[in-house]
Order: sequence, then structure tokens, then C-alpha cells
Amino acid sequence: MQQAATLLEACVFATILCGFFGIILKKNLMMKIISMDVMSTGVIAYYVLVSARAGLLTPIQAEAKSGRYADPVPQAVILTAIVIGFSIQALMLVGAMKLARDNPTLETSEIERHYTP
Amino acid sequence: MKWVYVVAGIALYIKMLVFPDLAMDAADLPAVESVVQDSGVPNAVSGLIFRNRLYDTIFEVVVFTIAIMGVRFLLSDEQPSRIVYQFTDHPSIVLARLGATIAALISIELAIRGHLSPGGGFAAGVAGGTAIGLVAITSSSEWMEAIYQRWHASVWEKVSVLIFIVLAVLTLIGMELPHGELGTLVSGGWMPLLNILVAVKVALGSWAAILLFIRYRGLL
Repeated sequence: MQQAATLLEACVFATILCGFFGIILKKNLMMKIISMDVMSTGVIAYYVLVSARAGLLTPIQAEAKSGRYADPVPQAVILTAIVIGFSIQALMLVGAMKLARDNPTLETSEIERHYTP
Repeated sequence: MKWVYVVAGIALYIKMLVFPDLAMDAADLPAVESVVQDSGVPNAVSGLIFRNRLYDTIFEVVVFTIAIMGVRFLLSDEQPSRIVYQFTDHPSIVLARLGATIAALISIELAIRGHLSPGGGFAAGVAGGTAIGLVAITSSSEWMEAIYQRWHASVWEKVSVLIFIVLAVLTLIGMELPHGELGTLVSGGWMPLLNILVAVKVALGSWAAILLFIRYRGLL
């Protein structure tokens, strides 16, 4: 049980790091946006994992269940990030569309050179 | 320079795995029971979102609205794409309509019973948006646009946000409806109403986003 949780935590951290390295190392704007989504998926998974530490039952009170409930606080906190992530992604994609129309490329270095006086 | 970042990231990874977690002593508190007692609904996550963290949820809804408005603003001077390629074969249309019906029913279920069972306003809104998206990929965009205009969907979206803010402020200054019996459909004060409002808001907002992206970029 404890070992499985540690393994899962390692996988979740690997997902977050993959997304993070994608954001800072990839040059393409689309790749950056996709890596940001990967990173936010990892963060959401980490919050779910943290809330599962207290117990494994869904935090909805019921008579018949026995066992410990999962912690509802991290789940409620991260629900915000899911919705905000969706709207931020729509906004970022539109921004990338505008940039790609003004300079016919998605490479950040090209776009930056185009705007450097 | 790139390798410095990679080495630092790997070092952070090993640190997070090897060193023990920060104090998790607060887990002994029976969070679910106390939240259920305070909010009067069995779903503790809904209780937290619409009662303990209501202040945060208001701004979440506001940020979502502003992001959709920003998409509309940024796209307003674009040239709409001339030809939108749709799915035209009969099997996909039937399957998409079937999926849309099921998603819409699930959305209503999640919205009205979000305080009793897993679900809630945000999940319900996303299910409704999925239903609308499934219809949108198989029918003509002018028709979808006409429906969006005829039912004043954007006005309803803003109105539901405003009603949500008013209800939330009423809750925050302490005016609460009676909790009712725990576990019934009409219970928990404002909570079912807030759930439905958020569901309407998220469904209409994602409809607006889908419609804009299809009109200006097509499906592919």
C-alpha cells in the first residue's frame, strides 16, 4: 500500500517535470501550450493523491460505508484549477493564433527576433 | 545552460521523492463530518466549494467569464473561415446525436443532484458543453449560430453569472436558506441553486468557445 503510493507519487512528479521541461526547453508555441497542459494534469493528479492519503472513500457522507473518507479539502481546491486551466488554454490558443498570423511561424525565437528593434 | 535546468530539475525530483513529506498531522481531523454538519449537504466537496470557499468560487466564475470574453475580443477582427468541413456521413451524425442526448441528460442529473452525489456545477457544465460540441461537429455552423443568437445564450450566460454573484454575496453576509433534511433533493440552502447556475454558466461559456473556434478555424 505504502509502496504503491510512493510509486504513484514518483510517476506524478515525473509527469509534472516532463511538462515543466517542455515549457522551458521547447521552442514551439504549440508545444509549450501542450506541455503546460501536461504539467497541470500532473499537478491535479498530485492533489488527488494527497487527498487519498487520509482515506480512500469518496468524501460523500453515507451510512453504509465503512472506512476512512478521502480529504475533501485538496479536491475542492484543485477543482478550481481544472476550470481555470480550460479557460486559460482557450485564451492561450487564441493568442498563439494571433501571433502565428502576424509572423508565419510558431518558433518563439523567430517571433522574438521579429519584434526586436 | 539547458543542462543546468535539466540537472536542477532532476535534483528537485530526487529531493521530492527521498525526503519525507511535510507535516500531515491535520489529517486526523474528521473533515468530512464537520463540513457536512456545517453545510447540510452530504457531498463534502460541494459543501466546501459553495460554502467554505465561496469567496474563491466567485472569482473562479469571474475568471472563466473574462477568459471567454477575451477569446471573443481577440477573435473579433479575424476573418471567418470560408468552408467548414463537417462530418456528413449518416452513422457519425446518429452517433453524435445519441452521445449528445446522453451527455445532456447526465449534465442535468449532475447539476440537480450535485450536492448529494458525485458531480456538481462544474462537471455538469462540462458535460453540457460536451453535448453541445457533439452537435456542433455534425451540423452546419450557421444553424448553431442561429440557435445561439435566437435563445440569447450570451445574455443568459452573463445573467447567470450576475445571479450567482448576488446569491454568493447573500450567503457571505449570512442570509442562508434553512438547510432542510440532510440528503434530500431540496436541501442545503442555496447550494442546489448555485450548482445549477454554475452548470448553466459553464455550459453556455464552453458553447461560446466551441462556436468561436469552429467559426474562425473550422473543425480541423
